[in-house]
Amino acid sequence: MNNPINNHDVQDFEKQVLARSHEIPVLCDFWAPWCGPCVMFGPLLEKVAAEAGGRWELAKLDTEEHPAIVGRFGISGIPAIKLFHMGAVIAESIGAMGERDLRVWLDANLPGDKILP
Amino acid sequence: MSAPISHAPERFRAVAVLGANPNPERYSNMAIVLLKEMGFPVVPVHPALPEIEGLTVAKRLGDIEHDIHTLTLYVGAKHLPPLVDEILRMRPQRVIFNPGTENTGVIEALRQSGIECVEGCTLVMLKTGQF
Repeated sequence: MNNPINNHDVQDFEKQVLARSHEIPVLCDFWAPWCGPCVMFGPLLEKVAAEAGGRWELAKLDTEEHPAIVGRFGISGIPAIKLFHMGAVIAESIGAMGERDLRVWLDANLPGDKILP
Repeated sequence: MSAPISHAPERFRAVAVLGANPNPERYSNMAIVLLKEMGFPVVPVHPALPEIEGLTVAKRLGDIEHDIHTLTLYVGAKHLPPLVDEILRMRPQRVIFNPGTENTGVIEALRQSGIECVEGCTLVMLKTGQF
């Protein structure tokens, strides 16, 4: 079940992603409703986020609604994920991936404790 | 060889769409529609169809007579190597490799000839002011 606390659509990027990342790592999913791979990847991100036990948060940013932020980060392909920590991008990836690869990617890039069993 | 495409670009930054498709669910079609809406002169490229989205189709890149600023690719990466010479003769300023078309050998060959290569999604670039 998705946890509304760690899975939210971005309305205020500065507050919900940049500022929030000073308290907890934030994985920002840049997606669009017309993008097939994005629509497939989104539910997996939400599932993994819901199972993260509050160690990080998922922020879903609709590129249609936030073109300036997309341009600011030079994103020219989606789905794209960027992991924010202390207000900065510490890891990023373009393209959808499977659950195992996503968990490995998170384990390799999340600050602090490893998440894989 | 098919008849050359003779309509001249009315504005700067004409765009050729290689792998153009009449199916509105295909990204290449979405790109053509959005490019048209945004005022870019567009030349779809398809070996068999005469018209896509009301635009005259070039059967091959070599049939396009006027200057093309950007060539955007919607054909599989493995189909691109035989097209390198044709792209080089066309001399676009920029080639966009949409997701699934990235071919490192082709990108390297084009870059060595001074052509800007972008690995990105044309639709995202258009919608976010990065085109």
